[in-house]
Amino acid sequence: MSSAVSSATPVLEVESLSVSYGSTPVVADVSFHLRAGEKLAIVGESGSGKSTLTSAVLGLLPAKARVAGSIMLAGEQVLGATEKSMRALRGRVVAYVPQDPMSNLDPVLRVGWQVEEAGGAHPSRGTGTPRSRAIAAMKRAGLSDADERFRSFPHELSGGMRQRALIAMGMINAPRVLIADEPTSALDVTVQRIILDNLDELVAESGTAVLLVTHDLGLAAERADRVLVMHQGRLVEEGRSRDVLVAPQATYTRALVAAAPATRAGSNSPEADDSRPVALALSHLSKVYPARGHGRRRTPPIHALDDVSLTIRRGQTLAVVGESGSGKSTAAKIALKLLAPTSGRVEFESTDVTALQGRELRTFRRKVQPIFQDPYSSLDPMFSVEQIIEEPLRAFGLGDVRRRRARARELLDLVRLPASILDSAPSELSGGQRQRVAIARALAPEPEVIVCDEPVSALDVLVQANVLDVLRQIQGELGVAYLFISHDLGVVEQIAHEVAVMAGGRVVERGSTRDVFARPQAPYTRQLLDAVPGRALLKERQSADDRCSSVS
Amino acid sequence: MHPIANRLIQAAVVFFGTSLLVFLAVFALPGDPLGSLAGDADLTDTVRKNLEERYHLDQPVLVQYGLYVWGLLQGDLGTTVTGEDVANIFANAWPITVQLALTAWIIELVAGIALGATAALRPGGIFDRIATSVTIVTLAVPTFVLAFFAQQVLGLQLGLFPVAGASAGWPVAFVLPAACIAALGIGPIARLTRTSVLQTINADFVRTARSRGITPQRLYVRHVMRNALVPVVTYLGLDLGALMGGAVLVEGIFNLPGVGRALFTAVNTQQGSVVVGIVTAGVFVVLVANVLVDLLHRILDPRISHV
Repeated sequence: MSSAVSSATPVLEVESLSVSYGSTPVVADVSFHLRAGEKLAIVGESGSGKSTLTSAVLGLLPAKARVAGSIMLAGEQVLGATEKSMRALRGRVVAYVPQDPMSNLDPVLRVGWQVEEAGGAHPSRGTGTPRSRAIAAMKRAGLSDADERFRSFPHELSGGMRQRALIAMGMINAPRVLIADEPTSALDVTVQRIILDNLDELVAESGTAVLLVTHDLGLAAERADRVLVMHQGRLVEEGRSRDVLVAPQATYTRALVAAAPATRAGSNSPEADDSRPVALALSHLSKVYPARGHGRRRTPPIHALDDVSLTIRRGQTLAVVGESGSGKSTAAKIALKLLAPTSGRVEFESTDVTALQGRELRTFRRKVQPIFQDPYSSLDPMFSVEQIIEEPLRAFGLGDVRRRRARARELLDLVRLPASILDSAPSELSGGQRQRVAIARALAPEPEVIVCDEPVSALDVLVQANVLDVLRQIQGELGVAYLFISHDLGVVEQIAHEVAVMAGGRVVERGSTRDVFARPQAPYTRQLLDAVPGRALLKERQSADDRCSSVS
Repeated sequence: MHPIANRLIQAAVVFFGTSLLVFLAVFALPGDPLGSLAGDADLTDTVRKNLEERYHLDQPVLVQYGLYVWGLLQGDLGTTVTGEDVANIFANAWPITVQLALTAWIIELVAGIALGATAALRPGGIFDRIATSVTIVTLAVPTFVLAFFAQQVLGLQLGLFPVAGASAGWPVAFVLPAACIAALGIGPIARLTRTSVLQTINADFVRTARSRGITPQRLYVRHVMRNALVPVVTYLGLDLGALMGGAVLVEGIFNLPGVGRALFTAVNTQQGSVVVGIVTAGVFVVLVANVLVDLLHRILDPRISHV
């Protein structure tokens, strides 16, 4: 491929594209070019219009969408094209790698068969039998045991393997443009890194241009040549990745960069204080799930937790970090006494709670409250905000009707929500508002410890920063302790006094947050830190900021 | 334990459990089978004692059940008090009912899925609305009303189908009664298929498959229908039992000499072993159908074998 010429030709030209549903504009006057072999990232939060934009390029907008402008794909107009001519483009000129590897594979068909089908849509694009083409594509996408995996069903593969299969389907016809829509946001950082490295190699080989859609500015900057920032349907900033990250121009981009966990963190993580009394202590916990299945399908017993000890001090935050399967959520469930450990003790204020029953158990439940990951499923959709917050008060028989109502207002104030939403239903609230309602509910019975299981990972970056601020401020005012479960090191660095890194059911490193992040001891911790996208770039920017502020 | 072995053991427990219940129910019925058999004739004590011994009527019910099951395992279905071999009654009656129920099953399967799948192509369209109204009507009309109506109009007045009896053979004699039984099932199957297809058609994996340039026909058949039929198959399996029930009713109206009629006669003349035999055989058919549906389910949805 003659690079000098081809790199100048745009393969995708979007001119003043607008998309609206009814009277609501979702994408407004967006223009950009993608040149052959180039990597362009579109960054935005949920609702910014980035997904609508990709649907428009693929010609997959719903019939009720009103579209204006122009989208040229390798010289052909996409808007108003017939389904038949679009079909000729899809897979061959433009391909798509979707976000969620769980829902984007047909659950009842073999994975290899689905890759073969993707290849079969454009049989002229390769040589060999359909099956050998499919296996080769799977191997290139990093499924080294593709011959065996060919006959697997999607549910038999891990998330990372499914994502590789989706990449194989997208890349099998060597498309001119690949749209990768949050291709790794459902995966652990270390897996994410391997898969993106592999994707980079693949597109370099075939000269495919990539449109990377992501909410993660760090990831965009690390993987793309240029970055477009979208906000409320408009392009607010465009530039070389490094420039956008290190010297953002638009107000919105500046807020985004400032809120990125890797930027906010660092020297400002709170200082651990060993002298504080212990609120909740988990000692030598093990959890073993017995073997299941028969014959070839028999699975060995799973050691979800293996001799794990954690200590949460009053008014402080202990973060437990790890990837999926590390056992961090199992530890959280045991701490909440929602799950019984196979062996080990949970001590709350120096009493063993593993055997508690009746009244004593209820007291424990009152003092140790949960906040869950997904604010969309953890609030009863039939309750009003007031009912949600008052429910624990009613359950523990605290106060009368008037006092409970007053307490609900007070709690809303504490999480910085207006009292006017007391009668709203959860469906009327945004994700961030919902999570703050969940925090208010957890605080209602005046707990000593709150177990937060990934409390901000379902939220956008700016909202994340806001919710973390609320959590920190509440800790300062009420002296509540947090057991904070997270996979996101940046978030942990901002909020935790102490941190424990978990892998394979064991604690591989523990210590004060400052020590662990500045001088990680375990190789796994280092690997985890290195895999955070854009961390190096953002750190660089931060130190540049620090220099500026120290000069002025 | 292997899930399929588990399923078979469950089936065996259900089989013996229900047969015992039916046995107890029948023998708990008031009445005197020997008396009603003798009619006006005098039954001397020695004859009665003889007969009681022969049919084990002097034994406790549980022992009778044990003897019955023992016979069953050896392929002996027992004899009626009139000396007729129960196996004989079965051999004549069961094929009629099985033909009837299977015909009904095929009608509701084909009509229901076709109706639902077509309606889902254009939700809210004219076909969808007509199909929805039709299914509500079929749900609202009781089977026997429909059966009498069909018999009167299509059989008697238009002469399109035989009015009664099985003498015309399959399929002519069976289509009309089978359609009457199937009518009740078409509605739910069409509804279920429609909902299931609409859910699947909006699934992420369908959209993603579309983004690969796969043709709409292939998309609909290989991806959408294949996934959407999983719950429909479950329903079809469960419905087989209801169809047998419907068959018993409709056999009476169309005068088909199937198990429905045999059962009716047997209950009236208190021939316990026939009643028990018919009902247990019915239970057996439904159980086998359910095991088969389970196996089909596993093939249709590979995720299930791991549950």
